[in-house]
Amino acid sequence: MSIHILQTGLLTTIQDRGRKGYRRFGINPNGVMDTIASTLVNYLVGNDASEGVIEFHFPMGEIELEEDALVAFGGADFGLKANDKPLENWKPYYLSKGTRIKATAKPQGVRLYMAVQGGFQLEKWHDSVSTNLKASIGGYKGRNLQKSDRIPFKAMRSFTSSLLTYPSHWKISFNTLQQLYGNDTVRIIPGPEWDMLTKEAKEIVHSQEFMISSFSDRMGYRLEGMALEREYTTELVSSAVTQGTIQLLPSGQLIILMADHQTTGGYPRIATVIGADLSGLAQMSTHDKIYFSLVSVEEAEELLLTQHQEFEILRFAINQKM
Amino acid sequence: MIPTNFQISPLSESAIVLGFGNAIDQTLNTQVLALAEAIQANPFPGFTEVLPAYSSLTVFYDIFAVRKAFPHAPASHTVRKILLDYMTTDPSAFHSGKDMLVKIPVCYSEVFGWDWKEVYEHTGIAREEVIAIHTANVYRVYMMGFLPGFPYLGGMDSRIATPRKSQPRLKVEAGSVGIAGEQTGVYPLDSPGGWQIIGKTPVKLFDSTTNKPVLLKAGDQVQFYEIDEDTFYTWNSAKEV
Repeated sequence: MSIHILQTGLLTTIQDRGRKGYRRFGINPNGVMDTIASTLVNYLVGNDASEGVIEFHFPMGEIELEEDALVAFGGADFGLKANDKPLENWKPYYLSKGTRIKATAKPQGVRLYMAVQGGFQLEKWHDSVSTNLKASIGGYKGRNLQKSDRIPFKAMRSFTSSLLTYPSHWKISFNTLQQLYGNDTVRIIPGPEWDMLTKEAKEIVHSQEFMISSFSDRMGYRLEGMALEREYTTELVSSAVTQGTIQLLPSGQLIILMADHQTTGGYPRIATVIGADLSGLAQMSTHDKIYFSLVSVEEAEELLLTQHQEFEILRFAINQKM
Repeated sequence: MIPTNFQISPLSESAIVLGFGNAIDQTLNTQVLALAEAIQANPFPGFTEVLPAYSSLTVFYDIFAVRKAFPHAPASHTVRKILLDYMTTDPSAFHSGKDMLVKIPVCYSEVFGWDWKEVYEHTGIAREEVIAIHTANVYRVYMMGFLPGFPYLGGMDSRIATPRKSQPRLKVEAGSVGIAGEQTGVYPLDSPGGWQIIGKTPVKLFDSTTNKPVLLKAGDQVQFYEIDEDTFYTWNSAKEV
C-alpha cells in the first residue's frame, strides 16, 4: 500500500503541522506552508488535522496509487488529471489501484496538498513527520520525494459506500475557501523592533506595495519595495524568530520568514504576519504584490480562533457525509 | 534575580518575547536560562516551548489551549500576566547547575583548516600560537540556534578574531570549526557558510540517529583540544568527549 513516485517533481515533501518543542536546540518546526489546505484535505478523507500530507510544487511530476485509496487534494490548482480524467481539488475521491495523477495546467497558487485516508506509514522524528531537508530528518528519508520512491500509507478505515461513486457529488465551496483564505491585504502585528523604523518607514509598510521577489522559497520570501530607514542602527544580538516574522535587512528591504525559517536571527523583527494569513501568503507567487495592514495581537488571535471554528464546522459537515 | 528593566512584546499571536537589553553578558544570560527552566519546570496550560537567547527569552504557546483554560481573556493577555508572575518568583531556585563542561577534539591540520593563511594574514599570529589560544579558553554556550545543534559560543580571545570571508563557501562540511569576527563555532551540518575554517572535529554536534541528537545546550561550557589526523580518522564515536 503505497504511493509510487513515477516522475520527480520540483520539491515534493511530507509535512505535517510542524515539529514543535525543539527550537531551543536549534531545531526549527518546518511543517506545511498552507495550514488551511493541509487541514481541509485531511478532513476530507476523515483524518485528524495533524496527519502528514504530501506538499507538491509545480511541476509536480507524476504519481501512481499502488492500492485503492480515499484521497483528497487542495491548495494550489494544478489542473490535476487522474488517468486523464479531471480531478478536482477540495473533494474526496476513492481511486482505484493503478490510478496515475499528474498536473496538466499552469498553476493557480504555489503549493498543492494531498492527503490519503489513514495517513502515511512513516516513522516520526521527535513527534513529527515534517521533512527537515537541511538536517535530513523526518518525512521520507529526510529528503524530497524522487522517482521510484514508494511512500507507504496506512490501511483504509471503512466509510459509507456513497464515497465509492466516482466522482463524489460534493466539495468544499468556493465561498468557504474565499472566506478562509480571502483578504486583500496581508495582516501584520508590530514586531519587537517595530520602533526601530522611522515614522516615514512605518507609513511605507502599511501604505505601499511590496513585491515577492524571485528569491523566495520555503525558508522565506524576500520582498522588493521602497527601502525602509531605521531610527537607529544598533546591531542586535540574536533572538527568536518564527514563521511570519518580517525582518529588516541592512539594505532596507524586507524578508518574511516561512516554514523552513531558522530558529533565531539578528535582524530587526519589525512585524509578524498573523497566523490566519500565513496560508494565503504561502499560495502567493513570485512577482505577486502584497499590501500590509496592521492589526492588534488581540485581533490576530480572534481571527485565528474564527478560522479554527470554521474548520470545526467543516469537519462536522464532512463527517456527516462519510 | 531577574532584572527589573525589561521589554515584553509579542513575536506573534502565539509567542511573547521577554527582552532584557541588547547585550552579550554572562550574568544576564544565566538569568534568562534560569527563567526558562522555571517556566519549563512549572509550565502553564497551553505552554509549548521556550527559546532562550543571549539576552531574551521567547515563550511559545497554543492559543486554543490557553483559551480553554482561561476563556475570558485574550491568550496574549493571560500569558503576559503569567510571565510577569514567573518573574516575581526567584528563578535562581530553578537553576539546575547541570551545565556541563564538554571537551571537543579538533584536528587543526591544514587538511581541514582551509583558512589558516587568511587567519595568519589578519592576525599575524602563527598557526601553533592560534591553536594554543583557541584551545586555552573555556567557551560558554550562550544560546542554540541557526541550525540544529549549532551553539553560539562566547569567550573567544580577541587576538585571533578574523573577519568572515568576503565570499561565503557554498558548502562547509559538518564538524568544521571556524572563526567569524570575535566568535568561534562548529558547523553541526553541511551548510553554506562564511566562517574562516581552522579545523574539524570528528564529534557530531547533531546526530539524528541517537537519543540525544543535540550534543550541547545553552549554559554548557566548551573547551577544544587538539588531536592529530590519525586520531581524527580513527575516532570512535562511542568513546567520544
